[in-house]
Amino acid sequence: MGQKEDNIFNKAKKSLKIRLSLVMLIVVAIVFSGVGLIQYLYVLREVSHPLAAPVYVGLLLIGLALIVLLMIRSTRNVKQLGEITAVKERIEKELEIARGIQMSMVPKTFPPYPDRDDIDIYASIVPAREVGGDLFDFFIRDEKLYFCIGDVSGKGVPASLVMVVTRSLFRTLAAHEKSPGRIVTTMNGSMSDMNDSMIFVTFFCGVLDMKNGHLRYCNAGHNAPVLLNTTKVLLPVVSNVPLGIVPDAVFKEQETDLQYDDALFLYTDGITEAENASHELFGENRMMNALSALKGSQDHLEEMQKAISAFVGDAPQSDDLTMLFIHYLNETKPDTSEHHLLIHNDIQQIPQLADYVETIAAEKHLDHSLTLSLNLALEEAVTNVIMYAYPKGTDGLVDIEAIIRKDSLSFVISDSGQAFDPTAQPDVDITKGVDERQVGGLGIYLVRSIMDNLSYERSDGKNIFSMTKYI
Amino acid sequence: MVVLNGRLDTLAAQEVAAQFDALKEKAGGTVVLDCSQLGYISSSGLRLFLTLRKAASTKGGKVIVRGINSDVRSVFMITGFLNLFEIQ
Repeated sequence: MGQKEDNIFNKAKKSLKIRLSLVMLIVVAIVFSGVGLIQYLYVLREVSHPLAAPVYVGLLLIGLALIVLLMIRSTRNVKQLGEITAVKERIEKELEIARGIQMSMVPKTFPPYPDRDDIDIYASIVPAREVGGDLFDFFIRDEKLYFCIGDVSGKGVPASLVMVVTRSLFRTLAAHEKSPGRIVTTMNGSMSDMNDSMIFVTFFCGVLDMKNGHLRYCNAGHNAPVLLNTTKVLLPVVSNVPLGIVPDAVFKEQETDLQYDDALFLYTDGITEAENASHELFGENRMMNALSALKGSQDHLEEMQKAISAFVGDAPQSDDLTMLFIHYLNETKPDTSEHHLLIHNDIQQIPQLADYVETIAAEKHLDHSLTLSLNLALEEAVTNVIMYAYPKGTDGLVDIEAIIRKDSLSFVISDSGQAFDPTAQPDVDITKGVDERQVGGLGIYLVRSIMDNLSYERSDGKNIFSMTKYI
Repeated sequence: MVVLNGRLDTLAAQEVAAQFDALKEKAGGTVVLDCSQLGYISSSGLRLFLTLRKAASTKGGKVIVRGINSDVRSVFMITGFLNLFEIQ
C-alpha cells in the first residue's frame, strides 16, 4: 500500500517537471511560429527581399513542428495523469467499501431494543480517517447483555484490520462463554500469537445480567468506564495489560451490581485526547462535566459530541472517537444474587475458596458450621476439576458462580477441560474396615453428603457441574 | 505426637504429605494426632489420615485422633472415619 502511494507520488513529481519544460517549449514554439507567420504574411503582401520568404517559411515550419511534438508529448502526459487519477480513485473507492464493511460490523440501529424497557443503549463511532481502529459491540444472549469497547493502537488500514479480528473474536467467544474474564483471556491468547507487527488493543468487556443488574467485567488496559448513578465515578477497574502483548496473561475479572437507572459510559481515548488548535486535550474533567444529569442515552452522547466539537473547533480530528452508553432500567429485581470467582487449575488457588464462601455466607447469614460444610463441598468439586478435567501440565480456568436464592444456595462450576462427570463416580463404601477401605473417592462422597442436588452437563466443550443446598 | 493446626485443605495436605510419609515409619507404635487446633479438613487431609491408619494396621500400631471439634467430627462421621480411628 505504502509503496504504491510512493510510486504515485514519484510519478506526480516527474509529471510536474515535464510540465515545466513543456511550458518553456510552448513559449519557444509560439514565438517561432508567430514570428514566422507574421513575417511570412508581411512578405507575401509587400515582396521586398527574395530570400525573406524562405527564412520566414523555415521559422514557421520549425514552430509548427514544435507544436506537433508538444501535442504528442502532452497526449502521453495526459494519459499518465489519467492513470494516476485512476489508481487514486480505485484506492479511494476501495477505502470507501472497506469503511462500509467496517461500519457494518458495529451496531448502528438505535435504539437497538425498541421492545425492551429495561435497557437503553446508544453509541457512536467516528473514525479519524476512512477506516479506523476503534470498535464497540453488544448483543443480548440468555437475558444477559454482552458488550465491549476497544481501541487498536495506530490508525487507518493497519488498525482497521486488527479491529475486525478483535470484533470477530469477541462475537465468536461471547456466543458461548459468559465469563468476561475468560473471554478476554482467550482473546488475548489468540491475538498474542503471530502478532509480529506488535499492534495491541485496549479492551473492556462486560456481561450485564438483565434480570438482576449484576455486572461482571474485565479490563485489558482500557480507560475505566464512567458509572453514572446519583454520582459520577469511574468504575473501579484492574488495569491489566492490553490484548496482544503477553500471550499467557490472565485477566482478572471484577463484578458489581447495577441498580435501576444506573448507567455506564464507555469511551475510547479519542474523547479524552481530542485536541484543539492549540494542542490542548479535551481531558477527563471536561468529559465528566459533559456527562450531565440528562436522562436518555442518546441525549448524553449528543451532548458529549457537542462539547467535543465546541472544544476542538476547526482542528482536524486526531483520533477515532467512540462512545457507548448503557442505561440499565430494570425496576423489578428477583430475590437472587450472584457471586463469581475465576481461578486457575492450580491447587495453590484453593485457599481463595474459603474467602469466597465466607463472603457468600455473610450475605446469607449462614452459621459457621454450614459455611465450613459448603466450603468443603466446593473445595472437593473444584479439586476434582483441577485433578481430573485438565490433563497434568495444561493451563486452564475454573469458573465458579454462586447463586443465592431465598431458600437455597447453588454453585455452578464450569471448566473447558476434558469431559469429566463427577456425578458418575461410584460411592465409596464407608462401612468397610481399615484394610479394605479405598483411599480415593472421598471428595465426591462428601459433596453428595453435604449438598442436596447435583447435576452435570457437557455443553460447548465445557463441563458444567451444579450443586444446590436448600437452606 | 503430632499437632495439626488450622486448615487442612487440598493445598495444605500437599504441603504436609511428606511429614505424614515420615510418620508412617513410626506407625508400628502409637501415633497421636492432636487435632484440637484443626478447624477444617478436606478429603485430601482425610486421605493422609487413612493412609497412616492403614500403615499402622499393617505394622500393628495405632493412631489416636485427639480433640477434634464438632465440625471436623461431622466430617469424620459422614465419611465413616469415626469407626476407623480411636477418637479421644
